[in-house]
Amino acid sequence: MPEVNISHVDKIYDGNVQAVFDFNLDIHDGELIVLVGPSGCGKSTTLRMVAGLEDITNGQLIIDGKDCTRLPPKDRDIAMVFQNYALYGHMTIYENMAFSLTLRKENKEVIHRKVMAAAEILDLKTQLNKKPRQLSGGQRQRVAMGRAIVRNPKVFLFDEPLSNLDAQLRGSMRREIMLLHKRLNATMIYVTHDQTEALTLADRIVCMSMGHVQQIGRPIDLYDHPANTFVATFIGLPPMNMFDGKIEGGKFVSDLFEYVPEGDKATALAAYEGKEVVLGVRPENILPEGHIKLKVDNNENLGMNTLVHGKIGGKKIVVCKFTGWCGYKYGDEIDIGFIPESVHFFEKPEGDIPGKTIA
Amino acid sequence: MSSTKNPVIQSDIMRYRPNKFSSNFTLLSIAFGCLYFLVLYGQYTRSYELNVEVVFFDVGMGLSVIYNLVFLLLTFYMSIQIKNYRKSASYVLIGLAVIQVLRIFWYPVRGLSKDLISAGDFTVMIIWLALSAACLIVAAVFGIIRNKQYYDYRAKLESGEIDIDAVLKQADAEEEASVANAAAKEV
Repeated sequence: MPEVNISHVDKIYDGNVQAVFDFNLDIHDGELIVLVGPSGCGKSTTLRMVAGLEDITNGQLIIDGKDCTRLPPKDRDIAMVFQNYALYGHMTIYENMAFSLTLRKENKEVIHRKVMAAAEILDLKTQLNKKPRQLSGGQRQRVAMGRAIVRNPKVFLFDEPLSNLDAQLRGSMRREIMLLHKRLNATMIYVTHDQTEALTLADRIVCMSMGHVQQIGRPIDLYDHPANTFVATFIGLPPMNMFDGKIEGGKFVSDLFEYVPEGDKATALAAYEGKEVVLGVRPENILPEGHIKLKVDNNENLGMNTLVHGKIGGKKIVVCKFTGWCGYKYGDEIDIGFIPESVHFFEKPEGDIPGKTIA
Repeated sequence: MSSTKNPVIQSDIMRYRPNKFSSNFTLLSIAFGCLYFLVLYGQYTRSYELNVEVVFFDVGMGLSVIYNLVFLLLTFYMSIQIKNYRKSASYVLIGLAVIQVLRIFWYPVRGLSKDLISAGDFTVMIIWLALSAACLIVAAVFGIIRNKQYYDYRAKLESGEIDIDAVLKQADAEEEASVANAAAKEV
């Protein structure tokens, strides 16, 4: 039985502004779900509805079999970790972590055992008598997580907890969250705009845009089989290269090059004869051999790989990721091709509506 | 949930929680002390009405005002010190408690003997001073007890005589076993 069931949830603010449209998700016990998307896509609003900090306009929220749609946050048995830590500056770390249990008038010994256990997990035992201002950003975020852990909630909610940290610290904190999840085997809902966090942490990702769910699936599914052009370009760094064109005589034809799809892709594209489509290919699926001419702008040598930035036809910017150290210079012309199985075809986007995957 | 207190864990809690009990009683003594001097200084109005040359309002009263200020500041400072398990604060509080009791024999007794204060006001002043002294004594006694408990525990922890991690793990295991037994009984 799913731990969290979110059914047909909408969020409509005063003035008929809808932030979330028909959100549906079943989260299984012990799963780490990541809501990812650009700013303003509705991911934090959805998380806040789960927490009870925002009312659910329509729909239902069930946590472990209990309808929590109209319950106040304190009765939902959830714990939340905020982007800005939200620690009490006048309390010590120990008091911050113990606070929720103190409010519940829990036995002091029980509080102590739980705080010490959480402090051990998060390597905070030597910091317990300090105040938040004496701690670094990463330590403060660990305290915020510790405060959530001591409550032993049914669901942990994380609202962009690493956004305020520098890049190096984000990496190490990401690993700590992964270890924490494995150790506690807890159900977690994690919100981020960083697709690297989403790909590394998630059991499943919910990719959102403009209040709509674009795709739900495992990280590998979103990466290898994006549901539409938005997911294809949002997930993956560098983003997928997209080419506009048409299907003519079974071929993809654009003003830059022609491409002949193979196998199942050719079969699927038969229905789009004469229609405009989009061809997408990830930088690492471009080969340094083929029939497409690329004029190099610059190289980014990363050691194991090289990112080659260039233009096709003098206008379309393309990013290629080649293995090894490449010595291309500005102005060099190279031939590129695509790995056939890795080429994606999408319907042409219409305005804000992304184009669905064809093959 | 087990209701039996584990003395080792109770002592370990003191490493992270201040001695608020003694601190709060110290602050309460300040409140009672303030009530005392409110009644005391209120006697000015009565003596003015009686048109009596007042024994009270002389240089000694000025010293009383200064002492009250010192008492307030010192007691407040001691409330912070005793919160952090400082034994010296307890001894200072005992000294202050003795002074509070001795103050009974200064203005209240002298004023009553010269009919300058009513019996009712005398009783009230005695009560406030006595309560203030009692709070200081309670704070001091608990401060000394907890100070000893705290530093004895710390010494055992540092010498390795107590392994707090093992104690906490055992307590957690006992708790889990107790919960499991309770759940099994329900079934």
